[in-house]
Amino acid sequence: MRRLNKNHKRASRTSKGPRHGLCLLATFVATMVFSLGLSVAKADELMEVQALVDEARLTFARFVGHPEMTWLRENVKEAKGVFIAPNLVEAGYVITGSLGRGVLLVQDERTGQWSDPAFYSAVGAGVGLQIGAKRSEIVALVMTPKGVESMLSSTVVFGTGVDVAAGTIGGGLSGAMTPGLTADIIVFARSKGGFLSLSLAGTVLAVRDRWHAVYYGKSVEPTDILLARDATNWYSDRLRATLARTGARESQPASQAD
Amino acid sequence: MKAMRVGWSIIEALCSRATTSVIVLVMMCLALSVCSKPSTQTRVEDERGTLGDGFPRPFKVVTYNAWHGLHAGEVSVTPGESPERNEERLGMLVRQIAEERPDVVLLQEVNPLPKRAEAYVQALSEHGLAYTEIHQVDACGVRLSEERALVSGLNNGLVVLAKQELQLEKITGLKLSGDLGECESTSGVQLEELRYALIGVITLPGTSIRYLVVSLHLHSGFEAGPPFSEWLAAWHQQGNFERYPYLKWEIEKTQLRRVGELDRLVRELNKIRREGGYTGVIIGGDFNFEEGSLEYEEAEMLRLVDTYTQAQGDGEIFTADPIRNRIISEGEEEGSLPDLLTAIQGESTETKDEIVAAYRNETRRPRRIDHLFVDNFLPQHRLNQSRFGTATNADGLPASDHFGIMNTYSWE
Repeated sequence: MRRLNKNHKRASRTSKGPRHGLCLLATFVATMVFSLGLSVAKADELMEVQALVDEARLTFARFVGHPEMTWLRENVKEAKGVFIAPNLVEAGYVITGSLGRGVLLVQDERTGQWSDPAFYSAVGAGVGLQIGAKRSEIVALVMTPKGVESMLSSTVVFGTGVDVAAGTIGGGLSGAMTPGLTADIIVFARSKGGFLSLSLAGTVLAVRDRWHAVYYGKSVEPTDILLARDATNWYSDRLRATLARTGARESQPASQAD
Repeated sequence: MKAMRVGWSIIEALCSRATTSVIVLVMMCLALSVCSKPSTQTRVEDERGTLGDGFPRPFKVVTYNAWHGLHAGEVSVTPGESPERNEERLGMLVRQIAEERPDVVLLQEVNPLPKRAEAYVQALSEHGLAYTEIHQVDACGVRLSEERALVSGLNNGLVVLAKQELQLEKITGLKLSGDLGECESTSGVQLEELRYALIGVITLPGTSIRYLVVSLHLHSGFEAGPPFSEWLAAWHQQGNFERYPYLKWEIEKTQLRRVGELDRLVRELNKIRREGGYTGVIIGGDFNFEEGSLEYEEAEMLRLVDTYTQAQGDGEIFTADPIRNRIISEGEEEGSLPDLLTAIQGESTETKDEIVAAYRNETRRPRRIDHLFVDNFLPQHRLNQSRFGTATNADGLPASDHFGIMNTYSWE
């Protein structure tokens, strides 16, 4: 009986041959499609994150390069962190909403070196005179450890428990610095029409864990990237160098500053 | 056999279930990825093998800004030369290509497309040379079809020519900058300056080795290289030109635009390379920046290598050279002067005169602004770099306002 069963099984296997072949072929094709799909999706996502890193850097360069942004330039070196949102879109009619993405980098107090970026989504809502849509760029200097800590949770309501102020613009020709900005976070904003006064208060920042995984090749938290420095990617070098160069340039004697 | 049977049993067991196991998928992915990655040794042998079939002979790549031959006014674009001169320039370039027989030619300012690109291929075939072309328009005005356009003579852009055996294919025409407009081969709307990169692929004959080839032309803007910027800074330090930070900022903005264009290109190339398994890339074109500039530093930080620094050659290779090239010296120096004048409006006459004079000196200075950058392109080869397109007509005029550069790769 056992022998019969065995024979039956063998016969069954033989008769299933084409089906199994098809099964294997289907698995193989599915594997290829699946892996190709995954790699394309991942490649697209990585490119998206790299684009954010590049745009953040260009936004920062456009802010600090502007002749009127004296205060910002002169205080980058003192900042504990920098939050940059290169493309914040605000839209609505009386009731407005804003949506964007941003990066946060933290400066090591001891070495002066900037961390790699942590990635955030920014979502805001408010009431205003807005009609239609407006695109803004944001650079926020985080001036205190308290300000940095406020941005390390997985979801942060910008400005909760910390002082946030709109940055001062001006002093391009005289080089004079505007005193009196003592908030934890100083926000500079610009749209196509020019610089704006914007505090970002109430904007919700949510950590993009998925982007961290794609960009750093492993699952990491903002504290791993910003404080422990456990995650790095060479692609951030240019952003970090731009931040470092700005601080260094402003600390040089005036005769060498240009 | 026993092991195979066990393996078969496992697969059978997994297949017989309704849900196909993820483990099988992962294993097959791993197997595929391992199989698809040739070792470095294999790759080197393949390259040597390629150049052994009818070779060894040099592998040549040229980049050349062919000059569109147009005059761009405030609101219009008109022919900047006679039809006879335009034909003469075409013939001069074709003869120089036929003489050097480069494997790949990366061209900029080819106008009008696609006719001009097809004319190159046709003219080269009359020299017994089989080339194929791909192209991307980057300045089209408002064009409805090949024959119907607001500015009829304008459909300017990028071309790659390659020997037929290299199986040249276009991957994409990538927009590098400019929000308002799109240009296709025979149609498009352009409401501001657009910049593109033309990305193609070649396959080395008899192998599966594929290289990306890119022709590009970056934003021009101010022609303010390091010497002009340094002069401005020093002059300001002496107490002159109070609004210097504003002009400096205007110059920096054009630099940042080119930086953004480079970033965009490299992100796309990295993505294409991750997906397609290409061995390397060569990027040629009119970059509008020199060694020592912010943009050049950017290219280096993006891990691109200027082949000039790798090559053996005859000293400095100036590509925009008003001393040796009468076309550029006779007209092009005024090209970006209006932008400068806008930036310094409101200054005293003396200040303006000083700055304009310094700027004119800058535009008369020979510069190397056309480059061939690579990332792992024929790395085992000896490289020689030389100028291309230096032949002149009876009046001493070359075929373009730029000279090209030619990389010759050969086995030592």
